Amino acid sequence: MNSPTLALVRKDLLRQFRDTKGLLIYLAAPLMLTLIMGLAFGGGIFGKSGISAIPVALSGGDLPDELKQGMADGLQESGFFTVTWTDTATAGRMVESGEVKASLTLPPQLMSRFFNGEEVVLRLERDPNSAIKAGVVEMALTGALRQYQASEAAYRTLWPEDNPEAFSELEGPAADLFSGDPRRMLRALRQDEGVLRTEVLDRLDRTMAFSEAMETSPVVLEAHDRQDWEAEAAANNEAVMSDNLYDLFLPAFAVFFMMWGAAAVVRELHRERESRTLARLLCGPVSVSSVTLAKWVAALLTGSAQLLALLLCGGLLFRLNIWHAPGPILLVTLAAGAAAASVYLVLGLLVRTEKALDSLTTVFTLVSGMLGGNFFPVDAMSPTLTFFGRATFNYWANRAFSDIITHGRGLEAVVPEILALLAVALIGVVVAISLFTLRQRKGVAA
Amino acid sequence: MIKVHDLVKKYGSFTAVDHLSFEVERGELFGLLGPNGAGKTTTISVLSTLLPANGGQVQVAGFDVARDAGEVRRRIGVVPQEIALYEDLSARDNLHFWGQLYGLSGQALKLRAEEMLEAVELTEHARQRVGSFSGGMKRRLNLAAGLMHGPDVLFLDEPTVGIDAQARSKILDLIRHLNDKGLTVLYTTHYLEEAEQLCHRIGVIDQGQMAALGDKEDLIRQIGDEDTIRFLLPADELEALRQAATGWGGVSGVDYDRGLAVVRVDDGGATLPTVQAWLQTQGLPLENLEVERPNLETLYLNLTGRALRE
Repeated sequence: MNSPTLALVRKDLLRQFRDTKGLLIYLAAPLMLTLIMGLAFGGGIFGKSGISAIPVALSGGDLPDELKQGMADGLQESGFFTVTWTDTATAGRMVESGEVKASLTLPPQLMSRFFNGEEVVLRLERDPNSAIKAGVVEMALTGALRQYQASEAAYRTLWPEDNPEAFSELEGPAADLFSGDPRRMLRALRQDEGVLRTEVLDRLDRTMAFSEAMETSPVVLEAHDRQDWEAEAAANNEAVMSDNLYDLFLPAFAVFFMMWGAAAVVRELHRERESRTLARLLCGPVSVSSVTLAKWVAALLTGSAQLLALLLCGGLLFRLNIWHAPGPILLVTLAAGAAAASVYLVLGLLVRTEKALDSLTTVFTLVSGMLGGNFFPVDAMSPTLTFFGRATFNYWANRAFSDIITHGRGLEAVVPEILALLAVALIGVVVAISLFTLRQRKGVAA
Repeated sequence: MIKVHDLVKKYGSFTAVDHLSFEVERGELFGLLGPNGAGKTTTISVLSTLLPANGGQVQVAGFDVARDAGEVRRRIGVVPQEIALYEDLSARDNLHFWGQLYGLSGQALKLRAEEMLEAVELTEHARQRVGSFSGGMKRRLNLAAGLMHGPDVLFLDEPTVGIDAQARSKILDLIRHLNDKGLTVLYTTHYLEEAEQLCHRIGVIDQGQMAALGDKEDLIRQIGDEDTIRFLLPADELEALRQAATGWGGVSGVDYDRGLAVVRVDDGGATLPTVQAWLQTQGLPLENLEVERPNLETLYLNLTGRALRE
């Protein structure tokens, strides 16, 4: 980019940055609405509403019913889960059907392993298409189980007589000593001191060993995505949607605001025309291509920055699912910004006045937003609407963000969308330069 | 430095510039004088490569504006009639931008901007947003922006419109100063006194055509060296005036224009008492009585049949 073009871009960005009213309308207002939307749907750092009562299935293990209930109650009391006990096969099917977000399979001999300080391996199966909730399940379950384990350890150390397994091994005087019955305890103490001492010391050693084991032997949570399920869905070309409304709506909402942002930068072209600064520019060593390109770059950067700000806000405050693919998110953002800049630049050059542009961009943005899936998830669009939606650039941006954010996919999945956006951007710039050149030849450019 | 030959510019069926020809020498301050709609701005727009001509040849700084537009643009500075500045940027930011556009950068850019701010007496307001400037300050900065890159030729399109006398005086002084330093200036205005004070030569333009061209003295000579005495006179007294005037001496003609008698004489001051005496004799009031020396306004009136400010 040559020096005049860079000067033009710098000037446009400087003007955008210093336009406090513009910043308020095009950045602060969307951020505010993002916040409201996040509070309504996501919860995030402001509450648990987005990650509460997540359905989870527990299976396996050979716990007595009383302990099963205790574990389920403990998990439910955390506020994150609704727990269903079932067998392992049913739990897997429940994950597949979406009935639960994860299933936790407990190993056999769980209590015994706990008791002997052995490693306890729990198997977690997650729904990979609900990355946020599956991640939360994993995080919260780990925390809850560790807490449970620590509580058990403390309890059993302090009240070993409540451990039925431990007591089942006791015989003779030792059984009497820990019976809790004063007569049996007295009888035990009157018996052979040497035998009793040995029994008591053995129990205490085992209790201490258990306590130490609890401190050193963590619960291991092996997390597995239901890959077979995802592969099956992909093979059937089925879109597996997140039920997190924030994931579903925020990207499209951000793209919609970016469209207005790009339109605002292009509007400056008309303001410059009316203030005669454009005429003055064209009397200088600046080609029409430079002016067009500079305006395009400014619109691209402004729109992309606005879009990125909204996504980051969602990601930081409301756990919008962007952190697993920051590179693709950035690429799609820039490609969407480039396409928006081109499309609105062409619109800007089709009309002669700012007022006409305002009318045109309002109608265009609303219709395009409707067709392209900014008012409802692209996954929910009918085939007919999708057919028409493909003609809008925002459809491709929404599609790409949906793949990454809603479906947790990576760069490979959004390459076609990025290419489509870049094609729109390139064609738009060429058309815009041609239109502007034509206008200059006719003497009506400025 | 500027050669305009047979220039024609049309907007649809309307001919804004009609076979216009003139030349401006290097270092000359040339004025294009004419009322609104005469074709001055259109002429400057063609000269500054903004509008394509429909006919004729135009050269600026030795380059054809149609063929070598890029070369022309690098050598000209344009100060449009409008305040073509970014009002949301500061004065300094505006000058930096216009300088960068012409390839200035770094220290050279900063020094030039400060030099220009000082030249238009806006150094103290350099960080202020242009939108908060008075009309005069904006006009001065508008001029500075056109000078940032040190052009060979400066096109000034009515640069003093809408400002007070003091601000106008500052701008005119600056233009004079720039011209003294060798800058070629094409200055359009409908203020006759500005053209008279400032320009070496003046082209009087009307309806897209050059009505007269030359220095001030040349132009006045075109309408003769006669004074004019004007006064209110009932139409039915005109014949009596004509008869009386034949005996006054030095009177070359008597006309009547919209209720006023117009008496052309060799020496207005000498004839005035005679006119006053005749009016008293006739029992007529001494109303709207004035003596005019020949000037560009008279010339313009003679050439176009209308006053410059109409």
